[in-house]
Amino acid sequence: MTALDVEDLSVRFQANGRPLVAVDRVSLRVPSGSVVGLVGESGSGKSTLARAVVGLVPAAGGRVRIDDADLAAMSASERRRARRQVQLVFQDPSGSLNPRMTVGATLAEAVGAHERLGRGERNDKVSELLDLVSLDRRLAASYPRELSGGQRQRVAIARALAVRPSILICDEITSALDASVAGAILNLLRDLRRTLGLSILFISHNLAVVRYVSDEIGVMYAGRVVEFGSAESLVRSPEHPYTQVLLDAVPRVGRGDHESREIDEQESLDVHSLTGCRFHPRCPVGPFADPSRTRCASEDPQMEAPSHRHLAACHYARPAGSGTDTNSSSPPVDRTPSR
Amino acid sequence: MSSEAAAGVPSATIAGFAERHPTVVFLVRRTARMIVALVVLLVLSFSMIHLVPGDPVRAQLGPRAPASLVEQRQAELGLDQPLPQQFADYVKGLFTGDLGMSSSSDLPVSDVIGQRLPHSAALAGIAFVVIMLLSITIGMAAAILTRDGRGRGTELTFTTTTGFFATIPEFVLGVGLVYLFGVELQVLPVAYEPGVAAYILPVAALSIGSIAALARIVRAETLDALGSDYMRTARSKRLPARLLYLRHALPNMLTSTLTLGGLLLSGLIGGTVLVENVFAWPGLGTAVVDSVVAQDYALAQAIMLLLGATVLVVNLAVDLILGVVDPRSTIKEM
Amino acid sequence: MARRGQTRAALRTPVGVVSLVIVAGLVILAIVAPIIWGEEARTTDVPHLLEGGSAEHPLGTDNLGRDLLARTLVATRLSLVLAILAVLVGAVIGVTLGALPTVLGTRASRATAALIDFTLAYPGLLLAMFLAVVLGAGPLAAILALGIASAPAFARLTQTLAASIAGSDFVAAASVLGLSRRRILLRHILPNIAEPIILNVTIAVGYALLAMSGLSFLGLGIQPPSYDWGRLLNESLDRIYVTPEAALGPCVAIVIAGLAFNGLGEALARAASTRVPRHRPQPAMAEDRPDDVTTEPDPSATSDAALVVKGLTVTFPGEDGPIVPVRGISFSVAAGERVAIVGESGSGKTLMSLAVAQLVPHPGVVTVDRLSFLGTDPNDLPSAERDRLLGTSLAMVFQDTATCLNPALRLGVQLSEVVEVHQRARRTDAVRRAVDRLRSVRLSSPERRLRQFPHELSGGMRQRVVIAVGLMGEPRLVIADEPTSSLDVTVQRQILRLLRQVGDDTGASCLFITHDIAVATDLCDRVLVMYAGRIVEDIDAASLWDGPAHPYTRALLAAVPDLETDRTVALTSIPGRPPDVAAIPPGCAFAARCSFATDRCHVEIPPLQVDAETSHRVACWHPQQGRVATITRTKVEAT
Repeated sequence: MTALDVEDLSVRFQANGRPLVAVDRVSLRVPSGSVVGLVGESGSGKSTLARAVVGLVPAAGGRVRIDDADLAAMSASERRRARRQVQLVFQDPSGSLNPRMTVGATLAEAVGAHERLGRGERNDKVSELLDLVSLDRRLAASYPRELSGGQRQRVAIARALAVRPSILICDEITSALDASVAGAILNLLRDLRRTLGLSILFISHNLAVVRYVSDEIGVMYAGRVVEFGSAESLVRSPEHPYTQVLLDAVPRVGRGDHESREIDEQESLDVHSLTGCRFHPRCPVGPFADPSRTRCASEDPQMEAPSHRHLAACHYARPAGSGTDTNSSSPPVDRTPSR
Repeated sequence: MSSEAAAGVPSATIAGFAERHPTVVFLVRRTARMIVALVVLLVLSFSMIHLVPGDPVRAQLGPRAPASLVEQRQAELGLDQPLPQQFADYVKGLFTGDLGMSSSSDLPVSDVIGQRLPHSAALAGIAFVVIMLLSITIGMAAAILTRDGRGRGTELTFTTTTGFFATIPEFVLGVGLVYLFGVELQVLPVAYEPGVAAYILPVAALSIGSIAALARIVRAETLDALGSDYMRTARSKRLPARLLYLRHALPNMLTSTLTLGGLLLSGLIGGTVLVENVFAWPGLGTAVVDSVVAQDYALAQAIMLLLGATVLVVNLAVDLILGVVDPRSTIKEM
Repeated sequence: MARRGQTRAALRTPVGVVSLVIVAGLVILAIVAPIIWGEEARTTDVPHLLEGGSAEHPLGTDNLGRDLLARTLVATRLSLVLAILAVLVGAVIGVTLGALPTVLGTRASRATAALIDFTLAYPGLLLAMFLAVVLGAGPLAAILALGIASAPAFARLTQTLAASIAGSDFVAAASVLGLSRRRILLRHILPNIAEPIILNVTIAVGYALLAMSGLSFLGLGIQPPSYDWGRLLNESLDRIYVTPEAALGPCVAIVIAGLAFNGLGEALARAASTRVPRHRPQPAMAEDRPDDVTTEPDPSATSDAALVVKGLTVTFPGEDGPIVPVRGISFSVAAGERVAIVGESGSGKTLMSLAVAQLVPHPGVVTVDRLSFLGTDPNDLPSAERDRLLGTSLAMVFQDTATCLNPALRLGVQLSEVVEVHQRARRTDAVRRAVDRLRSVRLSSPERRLRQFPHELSGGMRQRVVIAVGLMGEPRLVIADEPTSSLDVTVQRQILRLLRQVGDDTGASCLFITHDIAVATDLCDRVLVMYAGRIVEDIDAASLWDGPAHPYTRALLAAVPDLETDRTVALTSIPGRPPDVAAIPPGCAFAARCSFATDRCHVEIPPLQVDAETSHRVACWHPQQGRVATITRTKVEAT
C-alpha cells in the first residue's frame, strides 16, 4: 500500500515552434489503497501527466513523491527502483505489446526484469499472472495479433503487475474496447485493487466510468485540475462550471434532451495562452453570460474550497442549482466570441 | 480585449509577419537551403582537382611528359597560385563565363559546353515530358480500371509489364533498341543526325523504364486517393465521374506526382549520360565521360558543376511549387 | 511460428518462387562459374577473333578470341560482389546516420533529416564520376560512389523506423518496467527495425547491380583485364552491327538478375506487410442469401415513410465462401422520425447504412426485397434522376471528421458543388446558400470558412461543415454513422443538439448509427439493436428504460455504467465475443453468449416479430421483461 503525491507538476512541449504548457502546476494525491479518477477531454493534459509521473516525459517543474519520498532527491539507481513501483497501462492494446513477442515472452521478460529466476520459476510466475487477469494459460504461446482487444488489455495489465507495483496508472484502458468488453476490464480492476491493495490513478474521458471506478475524482481542463472531490459529491453537486458542463454532456438512457449550459465551441482557441481563467471563453457563468464578471478574464482562479466539500478553481463556483447566485441559474447564452 | 489579444492574434513583429505569411517564410527558407547546398557543391567541384592524390597534371599527361609542358599546364589550371586565390579566380570565372581550357580538345570549356548542352537538354527535356504525360495517364487509367479489386486481368497485365520494363536499365534498353531498330529492321537512326527521327530511339530508351516505374507509383497513389474517406463523401454527393476524378482525386495526387517529377528529373540526368553513350549523342553525357577518362579536369569539373546545380535547382523548383500548391506542407515546415 | 509461415506463404507465389530460384542460381553461379569455366574464359583462340555465334562459341568471341558465353557466366561473380559491396557500404553508412538522431536527440535529428533530404535525390552517377577523377576510374571509386549514393535512402528508412518504434507504446512500457536500455534496444527496437532494413538491402542489391553495370559500361567501373557484365556490354557495343549476339549474353544476364532481385524483394515485402491477403472474388450468388426472416411487415411502414427497407442483405466474396455481414434487415423510418441503429463492432451497422445509401464498395453485392426512399425505389429511376434524388434528399454524415472532407479543396467548393451539380445553381447562388447553411449549423464567420481548408478547423467544426453539406439540398433523410464517436463529449453534446435542431427545422428523418446506447436515446425516438448482421430488437427510446426484451439489449444496458450505477457492485459483462462474420453459427447468433438460451436457440433463427407482452418487435425465443437491473451478474469470463 503506497501513496502517490504529485506536487506542482508541470510539463512543457514545443508545438509548431511555440512553447505549450501541457500540464500546468498540477497537484494530486492518490492515498494508499484508493482509486483516484482523472477525467478530462482531449488536450486536458491527463495523459501527459501520467507519462510524466512514470518518467516517460521530463517534468519542467514540480515533484513526484512515492510514499513521501521525493524522486528528485534520490540517486539515479534509487530513483529507478522507486519508479518501478508505479506502472502504466496504455490505451491502445495493440500498440502496447511487442508484435514480435509472444504473450508468454512479454510476461516472462517483465517477470525477470529485476530478479534472477530460473526458467521454471519464470514460467510459473507467467502462469500465475495469466490466472490473475483471468486469461487462459495456453494463451502464453499466442502473439498479440491473435488476441481480441480485451484479451490484449488484460495482458498489458498482467505485464504491469509482473514487477509487483504498488501504484497502477491506467490511461484510457477501456476507451478502445467495446462496451460489453470494457465492463469486464473494470471488474478486473476492482478485484485487483482489492486483492493486491493497489493504489490506482484511473484516467479517462468517460465520466460515468471514472465515477464508477474511483473514490475521488479530479477534473482536468487545459492542463489544470479545476475541481477535485469525492466521486459521489462531485457528481451529485459539482461546483466548477466546467464540471457541470461535463456532467450535462454525459448521455443518459431515457433522459431525453434538455438545455445545455454551455456556449458553443468555436475557434480552436489557444487556451494555453489565455490570461485569467482558461475556461472563461466557454463558461456559462463567466463574462459572456454576465459582462460584469471581468475577473475571469484577468485573474487566474486558484483552487478554493468555498463549500468545504471539495476544491474548485473558479471565482464564481457554486454547486449547480443553488439559488443564491442569480447568474448560475440564468438561461444559457449562445454567444460566440466575436473575432 | 485582453483575451482576444492573448488568444493568438499575431502582433506587428517579425514573428507576427511570419505567422501571417507562412508561405513566404517557407519560400525563403527553402531558397536559402539551396544556396547553401550550391555553395557546398561549388567547393566540392573546386576541390576535385586538389583531391587527386599525387600530381594531378602528371596524372593527366602521363609520366613521360616533359617538365616544361607540365609547368605550362599547371599554370593553365592555375595550380601555381595560392589556394584562396585559385578559389576566387574560380568563382570569378564562373560569373564571367571563363571556365578554362579543355585539355582533351584544346577548346575553351565554355565553348564545349555551349555546343553540347542543347543536345542534352533537348533529349532530357523531351524525355521528361513524354514520361510525365504517359506515366500519369497510364497510371491513373490503370487505377480507375482496377479500383476496388476490379479487373484482375488488367491488374496482372499492368503489374507484369511495368515490373518488367521498370527493371531494365536504360543502357541495356538502348542497346536492345539499337539492335532491333538499327541493325535488324534498319528503320530508325541510331546515332545523332539532324531531324526528329534521330531522337526517337534515345528518347524511348530514356523513357520506357521510367514510364513503367512511375506508372506503378501513380496507380498506387491514385488507388489510395480513390479508396479514401473523402472520395466516399464525394460519391455520397452523387457527383458525376468527371468531377470525382478531376476535382476530388487529382488534387490530392498532385503532391506525390510533383515530388515524383522532381525525382524523375534528377534521375534523368544519370540516364541521359548512359543513353548518350549508347547512341554516341553529341551531348554533355558523352563529354563528361570522355573528360573523366582523359583526366580533363577543367571540362569534367565544369560539367559536373552544371549537372549538379541543375539537380539542386530542379529540387528547389519542385519544393516551391509544392509549397504553394499544398497548403499543409508549409505548416509542417514550421 | 506465424511469422515464418507468412514468409513461406508469400514466397510460394509464382513470382516469389521463381525469383528465389534465380537468385539462388546466381549465387551458385557466382561461386562455381569461375571454377568451371574460368579456364575457358581466359583461353584465347587466335584464329577466331571477334566472331559471331557458332557451335563452338554460342555467343561468339571477343577481340582476343575468348569465348563470350564463358565470360558472361564467369562475370557473375564480380558483378554480384561489386553490387553487394556497394550496398554494404551504403547500408552501414546509412543505418548509422539514420540511427544517430534517436541516440543524439531532437536538434541532431532535424539536422540529420535536412542532410538526408538534401542528398536523397542526388544522382549517384555524378558522384561516381567525381570519385573516378579523384581516385582514378576503377572498382574502388565505383563502390564508394554507389555506396555513398545509396546511404541517404537507408538513413531515411532507419530514421523513420527508429522514430516510430522508439515512440511506440510497447517500448515505453518496457522502459517503465525498468528494463535496461541495452535490452530495449536489442529485444524491442532492433528486431522491429531489422526486417524492413534487410528487405531493403535485398532490393538495393538489385539496383546496385544495375547501376554498377552502368558504370562499367561507361568505363568507370571495373577496368580491364577484369570484367563484369557492364564491361562485356561495353566491349560488344562497337560490334553490334556485325555480331549482335555478342551483346546478348550480358544483356540477358543483367535483365534476369535485375528481375530476380526485384521479384524477391517484392515477395519479401509482401511477406512483411500486414495487409490482409487479397482474396479471389467469387461472384456472390443469389442463392447465398439467407432466408428472409421477417414474417410480418414492419408496423411503422406508413405510406409517407421516408425509408422502407425489406430483406436487405449485403454479401461479400470470401476465401471459403461468401461472407454475409448484413442478413435480411427489414425496418422503416417514418417522416420526421429519428431512428437509432445500435450495435457493437461486427454487427454490420455501418455496411447496412452504406447499403441504404447505395455506397457499398465494389466486391460487395446488395440484394433487397424492397427499398423505398421517399416512396420510390432509387434503382427504378434513370441514373440522372437517381443521382439528383440521392444527392439532394439524402445527407450522409460519417465518423472520421479528419478524413471525410477533401483536404485539398477549400470548404466552399465542397459545399457549393452539391447544388451546382444537382440543381444547376449558379456559383453566386450556391455560395450564398453555402454561407446560409454554415450559419444554420452555428459556425462562426461563415464567409471566412468558405476559403478555409479542412485542416484549419477543429473536429467539431468539421462535423458541422459536413452537416451543412448535407443541408445544401433538401434533405429528407440524414444518415449519420457514428458522427460523434471521435469527438469530445462536450462537443458531442452540441453536435447531437444540432442534429436534433436540423431535424426539427427541416422535418428530415434521421438514421443514427452508434455503438453507444445512451447516445442513441439522447437523440432518437426509436432504437434498432443489431447483432451479427440482424436486427434483434426494435423498441421506442422511452421504453428502453422500462425494459427491453432481448437479452443482448438488456446485457448492453447493464454493462455500461452511467452516472447512477451502483458503485458497490460488479458490472455485467457479456462473456465471449461476437461471432466472426465469416463463421456465424446456425440459429440465433447470440445464443452462445446468452444466459437464457435453449436448444431451440442454437438451431432456429428467431424471427423479428412483435412480442405480445411488450408490444414491440424483438427477435428472440425467450424475450425478457422488466427493468434492467445493473446488479445482474452473469458468468464473467475473459473476453
